[in-house]
Amino acid sequence: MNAIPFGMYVPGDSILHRLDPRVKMGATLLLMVLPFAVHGLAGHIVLSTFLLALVLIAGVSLSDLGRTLRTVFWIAFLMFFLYLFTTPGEPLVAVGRIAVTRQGVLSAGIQIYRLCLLVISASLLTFTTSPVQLAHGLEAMLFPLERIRLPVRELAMVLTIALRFVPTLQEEIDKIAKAQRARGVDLSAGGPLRRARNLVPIFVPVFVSAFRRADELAMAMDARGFRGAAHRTHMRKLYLGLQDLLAALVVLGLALVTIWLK
Amino acid sequence: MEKTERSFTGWLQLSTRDLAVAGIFGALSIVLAVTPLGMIPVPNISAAATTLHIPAIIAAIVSGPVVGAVVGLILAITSWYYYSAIFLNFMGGNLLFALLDAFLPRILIGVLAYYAFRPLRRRPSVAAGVAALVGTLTNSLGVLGLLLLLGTANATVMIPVVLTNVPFEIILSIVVTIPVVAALRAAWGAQIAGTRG
Repeated sequence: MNAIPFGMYVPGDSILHRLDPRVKMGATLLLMVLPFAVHGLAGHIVLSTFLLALVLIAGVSLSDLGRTLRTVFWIAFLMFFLYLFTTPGEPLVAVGRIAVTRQGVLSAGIQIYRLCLLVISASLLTFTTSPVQLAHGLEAMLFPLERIRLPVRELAMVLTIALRFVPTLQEEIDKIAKAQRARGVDLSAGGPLRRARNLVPIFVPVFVSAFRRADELAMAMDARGFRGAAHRTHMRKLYLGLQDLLAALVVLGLALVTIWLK
Repeated sequence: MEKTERSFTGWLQLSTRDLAVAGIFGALSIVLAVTPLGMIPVPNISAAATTLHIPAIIAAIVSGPVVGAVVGLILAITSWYYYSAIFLNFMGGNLLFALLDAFLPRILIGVLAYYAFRPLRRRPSVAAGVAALVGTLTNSLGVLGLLLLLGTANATVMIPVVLTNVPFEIILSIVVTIPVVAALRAAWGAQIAGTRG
């Protein structure tokens, strides 16, 4: 099978790459809530320094980081102007009724800074954890939901199938799109209705072949005696090691210190 | 194909076939998210209309509301993977609200699309069109609505972006869903859940 990369995973062997995905997911969520819970300047300096240190430890290149920050560029741009022009306070520049205030500049800056911290925290997880590891960690974390009889194992099975078929479907879509382009389909020509209609010759074969694959897969699973996801075991089990415990303690410690710092 | 084994204990009954359809259509929504087909260029501010919710709509019509919901769940996980920072930012750091906004509307896409399709199943083209409309509105307006309801003032920047995209997304999903459902019905007529009964 041809492995076509998707997601933002950058393979590596840093300590962040080797941590348990559950610890990384928990720590990431905590790190993403922190910029809203920290109120002192010192706390923010410690938090940003910590995140930059993690970026260095993970060995994420600046161009990779820049690429993820670019995904929020338009939202950051709109937010910046929203805050710049709508925050009341001491005017710096005024044209008619529209004024840019000192407070506006400050709060626009804070918003952008916060968004950048969030993007960096989120991408630290996605850069250092492969989608398969993430799915595995997610399944382990959702396990308690089996108590309320949610089909967690079945959902994990679906997720596994989905991840397994991403490269296959990616290749197939690519092939179909190229074939239709060769017949003159142009996705960027004409008005909205024309563009939508140009998608039909691509989407119809893609969906029909996806459904055929699903049909064959179900038959293959049944033929091999698949009897529900309930009794499946994992080839690789997740174990929490000393480094995972230490990492969790470091992030918790950081949270307490940065919130406490004024 | 014969009816497949149903040996699951949860209150959400899923057959092997349902797992397979949910998995493959889930894969499709991940693939759309990472290829240009997921974001179709349209002339507006964000310069893109999404097609990512279409697999959830079609999976629901084909295999029922639970499978539609599971495909929506995979879409939600994918968009959390790529855009968790944006959801959290607009929710002012409230993790629960951010998760709710990313997951609830997406899970409902397939459920509502199925129940829009079902009563109109005698006229499949109309039904598919209505299901596409309902599914698309659930996605776009659901995410935007929760954002405005639970989010900070920041979220208002998303109003023009989402509202200018919605008409294109509706056109796209209707124009795509109707022929896809027709093609699937032509090939697997009896097995399309929404059209049975």
